[in-house]
Amino acid sequence: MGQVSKVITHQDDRSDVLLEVNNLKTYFYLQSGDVVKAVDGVDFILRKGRVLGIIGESGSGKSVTSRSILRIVDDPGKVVGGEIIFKGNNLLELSENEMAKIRGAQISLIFQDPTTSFNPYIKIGEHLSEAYRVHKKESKEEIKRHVIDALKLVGISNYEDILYRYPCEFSAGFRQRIFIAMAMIFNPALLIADEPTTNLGITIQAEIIEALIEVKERVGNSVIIITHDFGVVSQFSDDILVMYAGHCVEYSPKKDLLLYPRHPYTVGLIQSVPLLEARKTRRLKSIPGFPPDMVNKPEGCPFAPRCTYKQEKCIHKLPTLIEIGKNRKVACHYPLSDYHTTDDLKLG
Amino acid sequence: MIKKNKPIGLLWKDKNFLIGLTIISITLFITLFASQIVPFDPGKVAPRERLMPPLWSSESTNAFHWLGTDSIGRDLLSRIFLGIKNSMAIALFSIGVAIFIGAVVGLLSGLSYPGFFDSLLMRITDIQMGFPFVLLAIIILSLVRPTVFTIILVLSLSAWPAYARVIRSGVIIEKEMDYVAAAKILGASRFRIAFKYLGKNLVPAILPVAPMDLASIVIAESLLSFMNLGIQPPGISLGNIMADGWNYINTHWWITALPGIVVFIIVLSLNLMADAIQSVSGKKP
Amino acid sequence: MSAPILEVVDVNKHYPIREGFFNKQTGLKQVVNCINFQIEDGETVALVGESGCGKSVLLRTIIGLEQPTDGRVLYKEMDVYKMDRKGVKEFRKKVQLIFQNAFTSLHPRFTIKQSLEEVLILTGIKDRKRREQIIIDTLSKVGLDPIYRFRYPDQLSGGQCQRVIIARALVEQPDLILADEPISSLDVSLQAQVINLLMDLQEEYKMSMLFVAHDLAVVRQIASKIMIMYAGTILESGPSSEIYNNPQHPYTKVLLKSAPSISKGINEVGFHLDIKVGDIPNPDSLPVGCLFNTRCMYSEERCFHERPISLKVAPGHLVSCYLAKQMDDE
Repeated sequence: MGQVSKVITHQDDRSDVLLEVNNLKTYFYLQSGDVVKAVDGVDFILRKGRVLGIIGESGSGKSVTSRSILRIVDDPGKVVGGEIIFKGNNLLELSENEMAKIRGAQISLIFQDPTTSFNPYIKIGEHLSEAYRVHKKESKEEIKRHVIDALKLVGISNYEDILYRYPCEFSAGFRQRIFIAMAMIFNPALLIADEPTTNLGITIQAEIIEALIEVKERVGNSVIIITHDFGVVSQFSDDILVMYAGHCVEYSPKKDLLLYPRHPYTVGLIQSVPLLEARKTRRLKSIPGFPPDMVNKPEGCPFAPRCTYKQEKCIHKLPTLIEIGKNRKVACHYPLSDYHTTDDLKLG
Repeated sequence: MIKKNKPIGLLWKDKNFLIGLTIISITLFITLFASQIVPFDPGKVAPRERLMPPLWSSESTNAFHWLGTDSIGRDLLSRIFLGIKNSMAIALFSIGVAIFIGAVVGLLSGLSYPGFFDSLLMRITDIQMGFPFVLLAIIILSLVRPTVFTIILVLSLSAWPAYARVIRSGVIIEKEMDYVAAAKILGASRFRIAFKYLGKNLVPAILPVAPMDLASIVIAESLLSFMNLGIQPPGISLGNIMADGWNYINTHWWITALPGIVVFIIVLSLNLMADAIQSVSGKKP
Repeated sequence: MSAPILEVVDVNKHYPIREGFFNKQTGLKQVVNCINFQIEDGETVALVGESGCGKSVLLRTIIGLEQPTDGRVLYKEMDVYKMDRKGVKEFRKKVQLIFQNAFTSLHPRFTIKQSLEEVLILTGIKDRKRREQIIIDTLSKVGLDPIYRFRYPDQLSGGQCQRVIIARALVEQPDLILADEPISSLDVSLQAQVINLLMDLQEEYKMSMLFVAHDLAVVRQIASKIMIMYAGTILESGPSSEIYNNPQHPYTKVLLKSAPSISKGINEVGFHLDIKVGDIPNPDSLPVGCLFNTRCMYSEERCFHERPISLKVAPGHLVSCYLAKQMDDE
């Protein structure tokens, strides 16, 4: 059939939508008077039990997005627009107290460096118990039961060994798993993992992704994983959202995006990742130019200065997200329609 | 990539900083040109004009002595101008000497960390720091006559340890920086690294501390003079003007109060400047 | 056949652990153990290992910052730590190090020009105009507008800083560049740019390179020989083609399998690595026997008693593992 309708409104079944973000904007107001539009109009939908991978480089706004959802954006940043609808409620309209009840219990966050996330003077068991007590007061035995359950979730069964020891006695990968256990202690519907594997060795990275996969299989939670690593996102996500300079540029189910990317930036990223399985070329393809200047963003498409396919319209008009297929959206005036990853990279 | 607005630019916009800077500039002007701008000879004794109140007071008797006169008829405004000159000059010299000594000790100490030499220097620094200022002043200044030289000695002896510490910490941290390793690899000598590389980073370490420290030194100098351990008469210092007026404080308060207010204003201005510098350089706690 | 430009012979770097009031030595931190390799003229050798494996310390030993506890480092057959003044001067000019974090390896209060000029001043170029010209030329070579030389590091992006330190390494037209993970702190879209740049420069300047990295995918384009490092030792080394197509050591296989992959994502292939959960052994207490024994899925009895020696499994391809089969000598 081969038609690409530009504006298709599917009668989507909305019953299993857990989180819906509409036109989210978070700006940073600097002391010097400049404004950094870190997140400038992000839309996506996350359904129950699905994994959304948000991929982007520095300045893309991916971390700020996760912090905006939890409303923990640091000064001088502020969420200035949009909606974050979680289980039917707009999180931006809740009071701080109501939001505090949600953090850790319904939406949890794990982030980068497991070394500094733990107080080195407090035992592991105490860290975990505290995570529970913050929301619910129960008897010591009850809490211990929850703690043991959480550890089991991440594959740690020798809890007697672990609970009375200190974080420094364990490896980085192990600490990150404990961190996941802490985040999952209330079986939150949504777990946000913000660059959980960056700066950790490749083998530790694998350990952590496996833990996240196992947890999801047992609890059935949704996950948002934020990373700059294509390998991570290609192995652990159902849908992928690509961000650039605070905007969403492409949003698709994983396979579609990896096989047939449509946005020139996505294509550029895929081409520049060194892949062992790709045909070996004399030189790697790279995206020309430098990352965007977030203070003086050009009008028009933020990727235009680096885009090999740019045209006049791209320099002046900012493209909006349009649907180009089932659950596929792209923010581009001239999305590519004939790029096939497997062919281009000669994937073995 | 966020282009930083140079901190200097932000400093100029800070109201407090500008107020402080204005006052200190006036003070420095007075320090330099006091002798030229005094309306009266500050040493001139005029028994018939003694204890005259300042101009704005209801009992003011003439329009010449704007701030009144002291117990032997000397014009207070002129004396205060000269007092500012002497006190500030001494304070500035003292802080200069203190920074110099502190820098040398700090640099040597930091560079030899974690060796024996560093420990030795640090113990000396600790001892100096622990020694109460007044006690030190009394001991030294009763053994030798208080002259400008000895006063500066006492003041800078008390002040240098703080700088030594700040600079030593700075050096220890900077030593490990990649760019220092890069210079070593290129064959830069230790001297070159110490002065060109480390030195450049030390100025910003001192800058937030110095104005506050200067304020302390001004107070310390006034204290010394007040206790008669500082500039001796007929030399003039804000402190000894205050001492002169002490006996008349109930009736002729202005002789003591006015120089005191001047000290207060100077100290306040320095604090405003220090505050602004600290918040701009991000070192404010 | 000319001598190799760099030879590392039996290098160890151990730090004594001292405790107590009298600083008595209670142990030994064996950070780098028994390293042997050579780099030929014009060759690029990759040293691949995860963080903590001792690669940074090894680099510092090679560049002359830290004397090895045992063994020698030879540059053009001269011992780096025993060179005369003339030798030292040449070494400092011709062997350059590119740091991992570009931003911190530039003095924050020097302009780019001043940082680059330091190199030239220290190697004795007295003519100011000539220095200026070299700086302008080199900056252009690395793709930076020469106007950037008047800026400070905090006014440049990460990618631009990286290019500056590459320029700094190039101003004296070196023979050998040691690159310590030069792209790991960069965005993915810039990594390819910098790798391409390094390859072009290498061709143009005819340099040799030792490229340190933590994953095997990034060095595929650039390296002709690869060494796999773990816990201070080299477990496997050989020509690129051998390592990628015929890896022998279980750790090498794990590294290959954990490289980023899009095919696995497309084909929904599962995610298990053949490695036991754990950390790189602590240099304070290295295990007896094979250093990889705590994490190897194939370890046998003998792996816990004695360290395997290096076996030749193919021309130029050496492996330290009991499972590898030694090739027959012809």
